[in-house]
Amino acid sequence: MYDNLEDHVSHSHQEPHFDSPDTSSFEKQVEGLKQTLLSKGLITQVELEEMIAELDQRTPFDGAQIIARAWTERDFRNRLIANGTKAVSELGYHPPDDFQSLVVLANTEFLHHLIVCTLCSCYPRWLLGRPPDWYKSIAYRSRAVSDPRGILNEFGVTLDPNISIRVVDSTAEVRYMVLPLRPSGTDNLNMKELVGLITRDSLIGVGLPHSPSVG
Amino acid sequence: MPKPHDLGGKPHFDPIVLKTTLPVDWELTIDGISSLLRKKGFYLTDELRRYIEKIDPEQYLNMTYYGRWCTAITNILIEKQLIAEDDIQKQLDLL
Amino acid sequence: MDNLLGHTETYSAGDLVRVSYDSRIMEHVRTPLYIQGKCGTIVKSHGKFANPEKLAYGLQSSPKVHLYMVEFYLVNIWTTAYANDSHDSICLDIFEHWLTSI
Repeated sequence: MYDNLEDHVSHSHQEPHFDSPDTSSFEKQVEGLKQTLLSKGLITQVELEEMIAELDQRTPFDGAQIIARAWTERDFRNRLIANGTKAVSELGYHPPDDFQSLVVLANTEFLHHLIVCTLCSCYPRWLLGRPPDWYKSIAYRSRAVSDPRGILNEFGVTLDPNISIRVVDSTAEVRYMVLPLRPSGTDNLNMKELVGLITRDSLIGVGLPHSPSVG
Repeated sequence: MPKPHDLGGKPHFDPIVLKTTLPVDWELTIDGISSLLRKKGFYLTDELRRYIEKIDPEQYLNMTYYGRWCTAITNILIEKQLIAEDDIQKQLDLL
Repeated sequence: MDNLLGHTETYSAGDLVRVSYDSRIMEHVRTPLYIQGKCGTIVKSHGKFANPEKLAYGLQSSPKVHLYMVEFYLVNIWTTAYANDSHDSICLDIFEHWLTSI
């Protein structure tokens, strides 16, 4: 099990006004809709189970593998930045629709990228799985574009003022993933160890990769 | 009048809740239904988005993500006459 | 300028553009309100994509439109909240029919 996702399975006790509400009523509503679709023959139980299983397959572990490879292979890194869609297809990752594409944004010493979708919650699901709750929240979608440094502070990241932030609002069928800077002191790590440093949050730009543990 | 989904720069100052929960069964179900119906060609992504954006502004802000999906998918299928409101009610009565 | 696929793009990297205002008659657009009327710089072309304003009504065969990544300084968008010396920016993907040269 991948344990660096910071994706704890526990219910939050902090319930902000705009992102709390509803749930029990939809549990029934969804069941009613599902039974209707099944009884009308629009979908089958097998098709639905297969689709859920397919969606379950992708996790940030997939994105982390791609990034670790870019950290270790200069040519792959160049191809990934030049044409993300094509480069990840080498590794067997393909968008769900042929019109969707991928752009990978490389952080530098002077530039940090942060990804949001203000209009809905577009997310590179085919590389990172389902988006985390906060990515879909009213608060993140509202403020990421107007106060990115404030947002980063909430995630525990304070950037040097000399590093510019470039927010990217995913408004079309292009999906974005961040290529974070490789932490120093990682020259001797193997691929598996590098993958272990890469968090989901660092691929969205609200976090940084872990530093290798000392000793 | 801006629509509720067009959130960029709006003054929603609630703190970001960092803890995330894994989707529960009904959320996985509607997530799967959404992808499956799109794959089978019953609607396009932007059609679904349009129906999500049509949700009443106050309701939109008070619904969870997958709650909006359930509402929009139901409405789009009814409008396309693939299902009727009665069909769902009948199934709900059986639950 | 012609790209490898022979599509003629109106804008190329570095061009200055202004985003149109939407009269809000259209029911589904992918250009957020906060960027309408703002001036930015073309970063790159993504190629041609189906127009979401048509797709929203199930119209799949409408002509494809050029899509660009456009960058704006945050100081030009949130004029009071941002310090003048900030280089922080935002990029959005915007369809050609929303853009005019400046």
